[in-house]
Amino acid sequence: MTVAPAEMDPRVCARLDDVIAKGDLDVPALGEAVAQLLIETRKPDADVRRVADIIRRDAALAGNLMKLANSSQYAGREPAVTLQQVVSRVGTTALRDLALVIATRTRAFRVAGHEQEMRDLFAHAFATGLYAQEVARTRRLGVEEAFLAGLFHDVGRPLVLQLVIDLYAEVGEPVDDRVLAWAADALHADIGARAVETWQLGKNLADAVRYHHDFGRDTARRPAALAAFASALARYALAGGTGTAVGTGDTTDADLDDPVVVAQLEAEIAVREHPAVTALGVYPDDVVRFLQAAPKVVKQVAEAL
Amino acid sequence: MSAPQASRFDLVVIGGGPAGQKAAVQASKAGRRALLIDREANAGGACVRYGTIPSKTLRETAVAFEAFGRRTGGVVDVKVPGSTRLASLMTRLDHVVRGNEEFLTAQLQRNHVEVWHGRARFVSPRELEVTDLHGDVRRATGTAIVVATGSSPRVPTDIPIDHEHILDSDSILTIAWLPKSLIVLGAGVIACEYASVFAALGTQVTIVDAAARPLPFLDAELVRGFTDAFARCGGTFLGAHRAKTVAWNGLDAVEVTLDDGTPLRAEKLLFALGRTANLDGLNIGAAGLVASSRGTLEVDPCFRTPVPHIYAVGDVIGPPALAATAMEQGRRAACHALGLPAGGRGELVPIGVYTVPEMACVGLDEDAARARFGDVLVGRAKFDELARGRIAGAEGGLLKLVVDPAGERLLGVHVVGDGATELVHVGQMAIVGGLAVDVFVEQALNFPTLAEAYRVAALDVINQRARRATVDRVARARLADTLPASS
Repeated sequence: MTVAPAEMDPRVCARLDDVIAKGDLDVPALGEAVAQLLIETRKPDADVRRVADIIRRDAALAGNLMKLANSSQYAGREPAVTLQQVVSRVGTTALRDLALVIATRTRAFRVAGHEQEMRDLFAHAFATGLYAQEVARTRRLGVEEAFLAGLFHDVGRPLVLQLVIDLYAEVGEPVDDRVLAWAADALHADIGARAVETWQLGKNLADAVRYHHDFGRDTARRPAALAAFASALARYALAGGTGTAVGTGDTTDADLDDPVVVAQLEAEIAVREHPAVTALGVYPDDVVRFLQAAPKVVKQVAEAL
Repeated sequence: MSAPQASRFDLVVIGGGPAGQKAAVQASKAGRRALLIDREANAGGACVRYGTIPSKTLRETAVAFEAFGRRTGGVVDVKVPGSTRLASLMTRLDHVVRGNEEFLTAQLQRNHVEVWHGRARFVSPRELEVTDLHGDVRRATGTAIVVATGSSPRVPTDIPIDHEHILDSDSILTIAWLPKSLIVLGAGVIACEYASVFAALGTQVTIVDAAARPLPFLDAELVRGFTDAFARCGGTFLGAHRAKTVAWNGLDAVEVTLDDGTPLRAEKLLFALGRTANLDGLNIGAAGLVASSRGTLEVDPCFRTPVPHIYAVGDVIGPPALAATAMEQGRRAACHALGLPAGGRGELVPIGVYTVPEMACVGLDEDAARARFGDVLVGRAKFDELARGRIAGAEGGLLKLVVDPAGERLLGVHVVGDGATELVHVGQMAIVGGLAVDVFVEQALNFPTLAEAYRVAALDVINQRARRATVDRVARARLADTLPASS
């Protein structure tokens, strides 16, 4: 384990080391219905009725899917009122992704006492998924799996938070926010990857999560670079960026007194100077196009939430 | 802000694919200062990233599946499972791509070729501006310049390519799962290669093309060998048809309506109708260049554009747009630009098509040879009549020798079947060496091998030659009988 900060209780530190070494993680289940959906939607002859039956068994999943399927991203002229209509409208592959979105939001991004942080983290994850698809389309990387790489890239953060909170509870000490922040930063990629492996979502996806802070220039780690770059773009979009800041020279000195503008500028600079720009071969004009897509991404995130 | 000082080079090459690499290395080997500019960080161009190398890696798996079934006579039922990750069928891809990139990078370093990573644009006929990923700009001037920017899949206005359901040849290998069904629009090299590879892996493939037969530039007998094998894999070729509408139905299929109203549907669609020369952003006007009506750069036989110090090679000048051809063009352009002898007969470049089964040819085909030399002889050898072919369960393999009317000089070789792209080189060397077709009979070849096809086809030619000589003798004798004796 990376050297822990002095503030961390040594007993917690030892237990954390032990849990990580043994892989003894309490990864939340995504639910029986989602597990079955993953199997069913991979079948070449996936059947709409069978998929609808699986969803029907999980009332919360069914309700959330109905809501998402009627959002502007998928909605037709008439609202879908039956699960079969939802499956037909969305398609089985997209349905699998939507089910995973719902399951991660309701089961993985949940830490008691950190509700707002979890909402923000999930919004960031969803925006990252959407951006990952756009970058993948431009750079001819796998579009189908890009969304999940983005969605799951930080799924380790809530899991680490919960783990550290639980370990502090075990020793009967209050948890320090700095310790939580350090643990999430240091451990989320590895823990997230292990969770993805536990959910049996495939090695490619697990590697994208595991290496999204350590992708280098290895072509095999491009999905990780993609997730990392999409994450920076998502941060920009959720900071209110609209694609018209530093790069276009529209910002005045007066704007720099506004913390929102400063946050946007910092997020934009983080995008432009991101190491994934080199790893993925993204030119400045592509970056501008991605930045300009921010309002659309934010709208889709708002609807998903 | 003033423009940055330009670095001077003897040869500046734009594009790091097979053509550009060879041009730059050739210049450096001759002791000249060469610069290679590439918009991608890793060497090799589309050939390594999207085209030749990745598709052949998947093909190798497809060939193994197809051959296993064929050679075991169906005793072991080998089928790719319905839900198979495409990446799992080319697990060595990263290793293969990385190996190629490392090899090419080492070759450039070893030969002291300077490499700039960025997008190039002409600012004058001899000067280029190069912008890197971070927007930093450098300039370079070249005594000679080689444009080797390659090509990209054509982007149609009426077909919504989303790289997820409707794909082009740059994105087809990024799909996650082996599709159950695939429609391929186009019947050129790329279209047929992917169509046959996916068909061999068990995908239900339908090729749609306006032409009556696929690969019209290849010998008709070879293409028949390919279409028969494609049909045996369950593939369908719909010639003389065009797609009127193409759309993802938002649920489970790409739906196509043909010009005669026939509806088709498949899980994925590959659009492979043509490629476009990569001239966007190059600002060729500043160099005094104009794109042809086909969007390519026009060149003379030495690969010189109308601006004499600017050369163009590879896909950017149009067909045949094959890696082997591009490499030779790059090397020859550099030689010409630097006043070096190019050597050899550059026009004799083999063509290899990596379908399942593969096809290859070199030299003249039957029609071209007949137009140029008259009544040429054609010798044939079917693989299933060879010992090695029978052992391997070869179906439909064929080697054709096109020989001059005297039945001696080899003019062309055409092969379809296992190992075609390797076998063709034997004939190529015979043509280059000016050998008589008899050499294949007079020299011992390993047995059993598919190369024995050369001996069988040569015997076919020699037999025809003997028959023709007999017929000629009889005709001459009859003619002599009918003519009055000379006084």
